[in-house]
Amino acid sequence: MVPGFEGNMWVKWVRRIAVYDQAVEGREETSKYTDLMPDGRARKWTWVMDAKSVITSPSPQAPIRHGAGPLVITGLAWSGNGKIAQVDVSVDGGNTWAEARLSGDVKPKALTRFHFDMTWDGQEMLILSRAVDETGYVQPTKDALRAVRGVNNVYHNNAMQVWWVRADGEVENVEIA
Amino acid sequence: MSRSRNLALASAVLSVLAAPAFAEGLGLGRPALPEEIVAWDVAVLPDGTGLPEGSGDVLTGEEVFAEKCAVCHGEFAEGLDSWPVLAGGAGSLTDRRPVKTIGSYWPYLSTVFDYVHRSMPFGQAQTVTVDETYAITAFLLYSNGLVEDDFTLSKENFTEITLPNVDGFYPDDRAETEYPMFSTAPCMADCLDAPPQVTKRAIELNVTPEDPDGKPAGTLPPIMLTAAEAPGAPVAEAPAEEGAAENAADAEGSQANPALIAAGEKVFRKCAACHKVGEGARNITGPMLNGIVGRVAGTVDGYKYSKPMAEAGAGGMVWDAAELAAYLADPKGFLPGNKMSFVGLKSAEDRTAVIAYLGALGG
Repeated sequence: MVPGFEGNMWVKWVRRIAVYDQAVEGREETSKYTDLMPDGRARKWTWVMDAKSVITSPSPQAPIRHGAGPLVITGLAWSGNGKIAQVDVSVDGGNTWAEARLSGDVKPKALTRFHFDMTWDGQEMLILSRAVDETGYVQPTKDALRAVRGVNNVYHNNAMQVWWVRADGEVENVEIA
Repeated sequence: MSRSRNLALASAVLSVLAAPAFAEGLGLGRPALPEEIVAWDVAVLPDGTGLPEGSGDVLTGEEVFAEKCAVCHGEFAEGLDSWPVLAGGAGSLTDRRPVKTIGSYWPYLSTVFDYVHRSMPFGQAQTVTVDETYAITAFLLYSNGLVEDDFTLSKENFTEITLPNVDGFYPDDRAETEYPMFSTAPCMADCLDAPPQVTKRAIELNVTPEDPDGKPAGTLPPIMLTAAEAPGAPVAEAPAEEGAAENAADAEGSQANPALIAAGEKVFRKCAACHKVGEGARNITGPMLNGIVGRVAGTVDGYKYSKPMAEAGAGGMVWDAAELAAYLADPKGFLPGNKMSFVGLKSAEDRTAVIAYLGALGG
């Protein structure tokens, strides 16, 4: 268990523990979990997950089945750099945002549930959430991340996730610009 | 990752971790012998720490590689199917699809030795001897143009080899390069210059696992009554649907024939890898086919058709039974350049049956 670090560091089986005075530079450590940048060089030892969030309902696996009317948009946010301070939700593809409620006891590096109450008019929506952590880091768009990291850099994708909600309540995973 | 997972881990012995005091107290376990620790500790580090005595040359490595590695990685380390490519790729790291090999990307030769000796071949980890590991490593250096074919790699000269991309890595610098950029006050209103447009749909990548009903894997079961079941809902809907199915069957000049439709459902298995039908059907490799019989060609919402198919639809072609039968008999010949890579249904009986099945699906 390594709270705040990328998931692959949450080791499944411990066979033995050895302590070295230098990096072992194992196969996964060098060839897989390094982050190739647009200039052809690569970041290494990138372990912390930056602030991230995702809407869990509605989502492709949790479509809206009750039709137009009161709707609670909910999801999870987390940050490897501390507590979640704020989560904003947009239902118009990121043009306007409103702050969501956080529930429970917000702890550092822990999943934090957010809720956003609204009335759905039954029209299509592009919904997304945006986490802000206690350091002031704001979860970026995918385009903003690509501008820095290029397109061959996936292990630390903490970009905002966009869901396309259809009028029939079905939800699709999309990118927008 | 799962392909390279060391399956031996599941049966690993943890006695090296057993604390002596604990062992005395409960009579369980014993301290690991120094020889056992040596045998377990197969790690090889960039400075050569952990390298065992031994050596191997390129030509021996080529033979061992052909015997133990080439089935996945190819005779020339070029990588078969989706198994890793081990040679080439120099200069590709700024490409759209970089090729990451020890010649182009890996920083340290110790990683090659460590991994081959520790984890390869897949499913038969630790069956490669020390000398074979030196030989395979030498062969991979040769395959990447880094040594000549008369080269012998050994514990003694191992650290003299420097891989080309050793300086291609730098420690995580996000705190300096990204955090300031992403730590400005978040925009709350009028954040976009133009209305947002959908630019990419995951469904078109066809990588999302599905349940048998065509919905995303793990979709939550309905907890509400459906509209038709809800108290006070209009009751006319179900009969209307039945009527539509009958009309579709009538439109192709045959009565709904349950046996024929059932036969068509079986034939449709040949199609189902690429076409979804039924409630909630989505476009995958091919368009969803609900209501296909009687529909104008190339008009399923959200599916990206080939140019010839889109043009056929724009020209007014309708998928009636005759057109569908001709298409299914010879998909490529019927409409050259269309996307359906299916050899076709040779049997007229199969074609009739599957068209009856599709007709019965309705819209």
